[in-house]
Amino acid sequence: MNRLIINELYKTFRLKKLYIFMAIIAVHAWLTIYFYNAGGEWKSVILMPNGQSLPLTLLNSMAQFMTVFIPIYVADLITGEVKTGTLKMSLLRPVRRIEWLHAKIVSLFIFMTVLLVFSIAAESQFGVLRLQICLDVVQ
Amino acid sequence: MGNKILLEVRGLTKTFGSRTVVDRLNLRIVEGEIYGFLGTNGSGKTTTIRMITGLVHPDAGEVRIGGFHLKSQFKAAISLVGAIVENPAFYTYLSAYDNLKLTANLLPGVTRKRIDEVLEIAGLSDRAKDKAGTYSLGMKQRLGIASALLNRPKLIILDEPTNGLDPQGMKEIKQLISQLAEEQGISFLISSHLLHEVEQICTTAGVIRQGKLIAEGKVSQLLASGKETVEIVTSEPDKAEQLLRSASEVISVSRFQDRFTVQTNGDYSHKLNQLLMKSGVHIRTISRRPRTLEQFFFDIMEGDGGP
Repeated sequence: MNRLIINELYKTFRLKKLYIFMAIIAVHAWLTIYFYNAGGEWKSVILMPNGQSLPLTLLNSMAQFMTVFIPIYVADLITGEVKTGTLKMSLLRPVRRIEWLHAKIVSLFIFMTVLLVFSIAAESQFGVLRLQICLDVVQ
Repeated sequence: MGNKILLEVRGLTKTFGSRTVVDRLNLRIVEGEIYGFLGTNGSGKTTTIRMITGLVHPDAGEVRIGGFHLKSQFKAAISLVGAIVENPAFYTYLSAYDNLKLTANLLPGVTRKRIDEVLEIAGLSDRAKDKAGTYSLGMKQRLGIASALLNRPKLIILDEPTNGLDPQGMKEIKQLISQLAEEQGISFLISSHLLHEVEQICTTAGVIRQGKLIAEGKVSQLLASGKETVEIVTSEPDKAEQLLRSASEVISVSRFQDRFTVQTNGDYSHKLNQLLMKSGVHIRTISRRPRTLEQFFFDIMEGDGGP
């Protein structure tokens, strides 16, 4: 069971899609900051995106991204395995179907967590950078 | 070798809707056997193999592998088996080695060293780091056998292993199978619709038609029964023709100059030889044309009223 989960994660982290998703999140964070800047409302600390407020501001939009990312990932995870026949690689081994499905679900949760943690880390990083630029401008 | 029964299938039945695909099938594979499972497309070969490997649940009947019941002792039973069902499928974005590593993770007691071993056996060591997606069909098939070998199985089940391969690829796979059977004493269950292939590598064969096993036995025995074709060349053709036409076992005689092609009802070439010798007819050559499984297959098909 544990080994099944390890296998799933190994495959997930070898998948290009995960890194594309991460890139999309990073680009989104950067774009948000950029357009805030263009709006010129940089003096207001509450409205201005920084290391603390940007992850919180963008947490809401994560839900919108996830509704796209999760189906794509699950399509690879389960439907893709059935379609390409790699499902048999596991089922012809001493693995029960229910264990296989459990491993997939655990892997899905880890996938979501990884993307969430990454988005918070990336956004806070962008926020801090932005704040630094603003402070430079004030000085 | 020994006579230990490795795979026992009893009364296996599967219906899809109103169509009975596999009908009360019995099958038995003894240790050390290479069993050829013959049938035309749609005769129920793959469905049977899917049931034996636990991919499809049978409607009735039972499968025992090495004495373990497939349903109630699934893990113990399937641990004795390595299988490729239909096409060998791999993660195309991972290397051959990584694909095997994933499979090895699911098998207790399979080490990294074993992965190198099976790659060596399949002759893929130098391409192990390449992505599986870049492999040719023949290489994929060999990688499939490599992955089937990982858990040191007693029985390897291959579903149409040479399907879609070129003659060179077919030869390689056949060599690999014979080599494994000989050196490691692994039994094989090989399904095929190519009859000469089964004749070349299998020790035992079973013929399935519309889900029923219609013939089974040692390949050599299967070939020995039924009609025989004998070729005779003689220097006294006229006298010989008379004698041959009057012989009771002969079904038909065709003559081309001094060469006769005689069809007999069973293994009678030695009797024909005697008959001609007694009457003093000089025989230049007499030879039995080896009967192929192909002929045998069509004989049964005809006898059964055709598909």
